[in-house]
Amino acid sequence: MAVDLTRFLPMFFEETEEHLANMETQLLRLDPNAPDAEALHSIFRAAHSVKGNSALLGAARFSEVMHRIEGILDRIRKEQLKPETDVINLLLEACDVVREQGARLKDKGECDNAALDALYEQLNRFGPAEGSLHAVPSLPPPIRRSERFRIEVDLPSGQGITGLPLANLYAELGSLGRLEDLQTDGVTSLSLILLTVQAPDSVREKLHTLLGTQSVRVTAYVPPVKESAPLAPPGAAPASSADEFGLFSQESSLTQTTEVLGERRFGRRSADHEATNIMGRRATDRVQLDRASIRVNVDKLDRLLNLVGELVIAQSMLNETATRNRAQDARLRDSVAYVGRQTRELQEAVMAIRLLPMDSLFSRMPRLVRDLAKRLGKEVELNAQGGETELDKEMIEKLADPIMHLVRNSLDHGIEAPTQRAAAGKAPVGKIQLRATHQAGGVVIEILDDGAGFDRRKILAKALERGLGAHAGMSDEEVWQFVFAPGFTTADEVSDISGRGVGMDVVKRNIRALGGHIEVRSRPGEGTHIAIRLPLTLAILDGMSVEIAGETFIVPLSLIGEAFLPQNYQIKTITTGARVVQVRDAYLPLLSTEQLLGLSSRPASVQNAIAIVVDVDGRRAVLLVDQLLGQQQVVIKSLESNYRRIPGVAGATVLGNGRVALILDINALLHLEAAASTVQVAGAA
Amino acid sequence: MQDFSLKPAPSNAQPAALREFLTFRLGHEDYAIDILTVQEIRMFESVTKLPTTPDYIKGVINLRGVIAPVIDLRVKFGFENADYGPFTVLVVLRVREKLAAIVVDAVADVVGLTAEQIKPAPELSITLNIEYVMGLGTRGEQMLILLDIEKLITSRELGIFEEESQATH
Amino acid sequence: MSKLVLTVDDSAAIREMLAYVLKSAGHRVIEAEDGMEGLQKALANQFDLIITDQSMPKMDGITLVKALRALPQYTSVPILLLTTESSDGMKDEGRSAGATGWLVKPFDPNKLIDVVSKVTR
Repeated sequence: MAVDLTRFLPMFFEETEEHLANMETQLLRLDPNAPDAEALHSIFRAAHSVKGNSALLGAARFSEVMHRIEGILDRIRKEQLKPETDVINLLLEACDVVREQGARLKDKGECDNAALDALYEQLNRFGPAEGSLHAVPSLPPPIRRSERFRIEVDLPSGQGITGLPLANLYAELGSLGRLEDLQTDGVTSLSLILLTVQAPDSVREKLHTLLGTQSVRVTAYVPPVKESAPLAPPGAAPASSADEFGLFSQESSLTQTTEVLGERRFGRRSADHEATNIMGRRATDRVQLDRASIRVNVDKLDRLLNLVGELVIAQSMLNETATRNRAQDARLRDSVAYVGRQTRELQEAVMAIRLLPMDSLFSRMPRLVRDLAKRLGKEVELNAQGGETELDKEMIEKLADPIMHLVRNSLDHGIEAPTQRAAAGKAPVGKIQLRATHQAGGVVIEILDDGAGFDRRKILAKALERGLGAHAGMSDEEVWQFVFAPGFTTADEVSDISGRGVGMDVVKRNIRALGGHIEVRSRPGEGTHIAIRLPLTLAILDGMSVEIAGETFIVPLSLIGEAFLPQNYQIKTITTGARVVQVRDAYLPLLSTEQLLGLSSRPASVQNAIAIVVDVDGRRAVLLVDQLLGQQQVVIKSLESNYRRIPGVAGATVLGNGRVALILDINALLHLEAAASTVQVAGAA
Repeated sequence: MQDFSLKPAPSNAQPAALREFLTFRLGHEDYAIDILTVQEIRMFESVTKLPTTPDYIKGVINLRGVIAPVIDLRVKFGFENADYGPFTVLVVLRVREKLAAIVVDAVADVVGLTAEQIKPAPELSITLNIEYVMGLGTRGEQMLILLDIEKLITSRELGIFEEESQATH
Repeated sequence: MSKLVLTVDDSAAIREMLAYVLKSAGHRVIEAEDGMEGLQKALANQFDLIITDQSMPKMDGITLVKALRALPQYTSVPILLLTTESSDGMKDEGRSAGATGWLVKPFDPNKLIDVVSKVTR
């Protein structure tokens, strides 16, 4: 029976991607004068894994390239080569090429061998030449460099190695760093080498607490002159093995094994068994605690989320039924309420699974900034803060492009060339800062630079030229808003770096689509500060249910200002037939939902209607509804997954009674209303 | 000993002797569609209307948490009678990973038809647009119109599968 | 006969592949992500066979083999090293650490089953 192992291929591709990304991050962090040993190890391991994976994926050339990289890294490790800018650049380029070819292999089933050959040559030809000292600093290096210590433990006499709380020792050491060598005779002493960033005193203290009266010695490790490296010597091609597997000694040891094993098992088992069990159990507990993450297939996660969403709706339906039978069983109602609380907690917990740290976005920036700065001949220092701030996975994916565009803009138009900066009395190295923080139930992502700032004159001129309703008396904030207009650009030529200036309006639209806003503050000559405010998650909305023409709709609560019972005199009709509502001293357009949404042809009557004032980024309007049904948290369901976008509708949700309710896209309705009426009212009637 | 392989196993394609269809009534005629496109059958329940959509899109329903459109083919093809009675039923289809429900007057049966029982459809005999008809099936005295439901559902005419254009009418 | 096998490898893909192959031959599998976890799992269970990768975070395969061999319950349990090449250097290290044998990646699933039955007889 032929069994298909191709199902594992996607996992290998994915892992290779991750390894390459990891290599990149670590390479960017490497300090050429004192490369961190642990970091080098990590890079080496990643290259080694990609080498192994390549063989599986049938990409022998990748394997060879990786082997070359291993060789270079080995040289660096042995301090035969300094990881200066050109070395790092070459290695980064190698990652790029492998990544690119890997994608081709995955999509087309073949790769460009010429490209890989060229890369191989470059890596080969790389001699131990001095690199230039013109390093572009990126992320700050780790606070303390990792060092090796030799740890020696005297085993308790009589019990040898079994008298030692081994599981705890290994767990503790594992949490401190990396174990490199272990030697013991099982009877008198145990010795290991620990590679760690911890200070020796701290290591010593931990071990003393753990091992009690055993004498423990922690000393700096001095590597012997000739290191026997577990790494393949550079220059040698990977051994083409005719022997794919083998046993070290074929004959007697195996048979001996079984006999000896049997004896040992029966003989010593009882004493060891207990010890192992007590420690074993603790060891497993430790494992759960130390295990920081687990890989889950995204589809499984989505399915889990859907099921929980369904559970919330089911509970809602149950709640409605229970409330209808209010005369009956109080205990039933209590139980249902309890289930409700548990369900909501479950939902929060599950939604939290979708949260990823912003770092997954921020980590792409150093590379981008480095490459672009080099291309533009500018010097930039990138700083990222709040990378641990969490945001819904889907939102992060959708933010990637906008944020990269904004950073590119900062580099391109914001930060000036070093000479210009010097002339302006600024430090030659420009600063770009990325910041992510939790604020008021949402997340704020900021991009700051100390560059030239927005040019008010230019923007105003362009806006006037395009007839966007600009005038000289506008505040700075109002002027900056013009950059978000479609096709707006003050660049005299289109640079291919940040595109044709269509970028900003797309950025704003993307942020909008995520339910967020974008704010700009800028001081000419000093810099620019862009803030993106977002809700925590895409999938849940705080909404107000309303009834319009017999149907239930949901209005996002955050857009609702106030509600009141309108009087006839407050509603006026203007010349175009559109209507406005007087709210204190302003006249706001009335959204005729019936006409905009085509519900029924008669205009809404004022009698018995309720007016809701909605506010989208300062643009206000009034919505007339028949009834306010209540506030509730709704799970947003996509209309587009099985149908498509409908203007004026942001999505749908399922109510407690099982029916579908549409969520209104207030922003779109405002636009539709504005388009429908040709004259905009800007003041008193 | 099992045989493991990193190359995909060859597919065993066998000619189908019998194809299975779901039959239902629309207007005065009996139709049949490939059973593999049918996900489930539901009682007709109240539908949430969608604004600014063509009249044959009745609205959307909640299918275990997923929102799917409801299409009334009787309206689309201009049948006179598009009432909702006790036998009106929704047939939920799964076409190219999307779900959509069609309104039918009654669901009859699941039948198997052999190649001999299927004949090509003559040009002018039926009300439905000929391009969606795969052929005619005979079961004794009954004539079944074999609909290429996938083609119909994904058609531009119906407008469900369009990416981003405005609602056609 | 069904054996209890510990697989130690930092690649989830390799772990899955190993589990798939071993389980279809009727064995039971417990997995670990690196040498440290492997050691902890080894202390918590009594395995009939341990298959470990060489290059891993926290603790590599050779060190794991040495640590295991220092334990009375694992002095003679078969331990196989999964490596990316079968160079003499690796063989020497493996032998002196006390491994029972080695297997080169990518491994032939059928060979794996063979070796497993051979060493756990």
